[in-house]
Amino acid sequence: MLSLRDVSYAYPDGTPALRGASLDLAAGERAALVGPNGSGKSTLCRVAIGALRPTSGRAELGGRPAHALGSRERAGRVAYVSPSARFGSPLTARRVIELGRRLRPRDAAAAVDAVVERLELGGLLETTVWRLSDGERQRVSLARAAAQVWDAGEALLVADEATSAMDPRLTAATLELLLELSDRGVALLTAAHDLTFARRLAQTALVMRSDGSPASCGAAAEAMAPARLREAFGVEFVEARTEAGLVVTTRGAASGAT
Amino acid sequence: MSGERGRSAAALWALLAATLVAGGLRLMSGPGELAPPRDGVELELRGMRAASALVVGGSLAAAGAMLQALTQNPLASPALLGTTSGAGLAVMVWIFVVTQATGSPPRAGPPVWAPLVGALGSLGVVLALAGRGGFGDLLRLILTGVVVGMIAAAGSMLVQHLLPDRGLALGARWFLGDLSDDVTLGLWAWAAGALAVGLVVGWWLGPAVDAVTLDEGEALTMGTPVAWVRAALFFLAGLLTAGAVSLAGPIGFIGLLGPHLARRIVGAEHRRLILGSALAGATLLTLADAGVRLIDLGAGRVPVGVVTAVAGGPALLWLLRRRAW
Repeated sequence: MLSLRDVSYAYPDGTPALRGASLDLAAGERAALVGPNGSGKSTLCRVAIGALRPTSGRAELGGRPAHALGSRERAGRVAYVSPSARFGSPLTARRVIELGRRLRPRDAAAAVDAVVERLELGGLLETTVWRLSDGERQRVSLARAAAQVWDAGEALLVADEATSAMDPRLTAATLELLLELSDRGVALLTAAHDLTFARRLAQTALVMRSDGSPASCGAAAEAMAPARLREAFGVEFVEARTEAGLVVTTRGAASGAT
Repeated sequence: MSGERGRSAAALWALLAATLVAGGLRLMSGPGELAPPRDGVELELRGMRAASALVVGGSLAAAGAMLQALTQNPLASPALLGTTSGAGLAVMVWIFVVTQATGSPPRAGPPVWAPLVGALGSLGVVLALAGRGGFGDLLRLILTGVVVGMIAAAGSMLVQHLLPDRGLALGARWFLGDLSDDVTLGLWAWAAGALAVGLVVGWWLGPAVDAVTLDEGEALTMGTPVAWVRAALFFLAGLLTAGAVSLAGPIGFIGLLGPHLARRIVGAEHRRLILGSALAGATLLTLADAGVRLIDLGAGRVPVGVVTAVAGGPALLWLLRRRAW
């Protein structure tokens, strides 16, 4: 579905943002993109959807260069949630979500209903997005992208920090929704700072260093092992299996730690 | 959903009715009295003025809705971005050149291209200066527009000063904006044609315009040719502003108030918003012009641009205070 081969990107002024990242995603495969602030995660996401053309290397969606896809073709292959959740106009939440199906109106209502129910957006549909909280806006953005790929068959969903403002309950609902999409054949590329969320979601992980180069890539359990995370972030990590599942966190010197 | 859309459609019809009522009221408005026109000449005079007000108000407000979508900025409007002043300056330069070349000021209205070049030129300058790295900075865009507008307005005054009689004959039209009685049918037809083109293309592009008000990458993955839609909004807003300015000069605030009023009535979806803005703007300006005619201050007719500024300025301040968008 997605094939990134040795992808680099530098801003027009020459500042490098991404240095030689590679990643392959098959239909239904789930990948996490992890790394410090400014390590090129968002740039990689924008290269993957074809919004940025790599300065070197290849980025392909379904075998075609991502940046060269036609409008309709791109809409059928990839959906994207930006980290900003910024809306330039006071559309209703319903209208924003329906925009995901602008080019594929067939069965749109069923797809919209399904994602709205899973993200508990039913009560917010007629509200103007400008009146929503940050977490609610993120849910609207995610619902729009999820509705777009809901029944698209083989497609890619790129979510850049889709849960950063969500409460724990809705983060859990998001995880469920993403797993369901994956079962439906949608490949996922998710940039996240919530490492527990990333580990629970992803089979594959790409860990970035702050200079934009890849620190490790492969099966999530190895690529996100505490030693590898330490290399990328420069702090100690612990990974614990609890009765609630896997937890990944920094080794704290915070008050209250024993 | 059908209920919501149905309400929105009914609201559009109600706006259209309000526009027609405003037009009728203007036909009934004589100097200081509300009375039907006495003869054919008076009917023609009032009719042309009403038709001008409808087209100018509609064009400015539709352009405002498009500029707000293009810049993702609820305060954008042809006047605040300096587009009307830019078009006005181009017209003044044209008047100056014709006067220099022929020895007398032009009798007919400006040619189509003059305000168009001015509108697109000033809008292009503002977007280029303020748009580096996106239009996210609301304040920078508006400030850039205000400064460019001030420079263009000062340029217009300079040109006026250089005219033989210091341009006194031009009156307030090219500075504050005024509906004039000497609009020719040809000039009106081009502005009305520009408005028609703007509304038809705006209706057709509406859903894509909704999409480009989201993040650029998001719009792209929803299958929206972002660059094309933005280029279309830029060009249409310039065209509509040029049409309005060639009829009435740089009238202010209608382009800001029209879209805000329409958003409250028909909602924010651009297919309806652009049309609704045009109707709201046409209604507002026609009512303002009827007011100018009916209320006799004993000092001749006040330019309608003064009225829109005096009424529109406080309305903008209220919007800023309430953040009511």
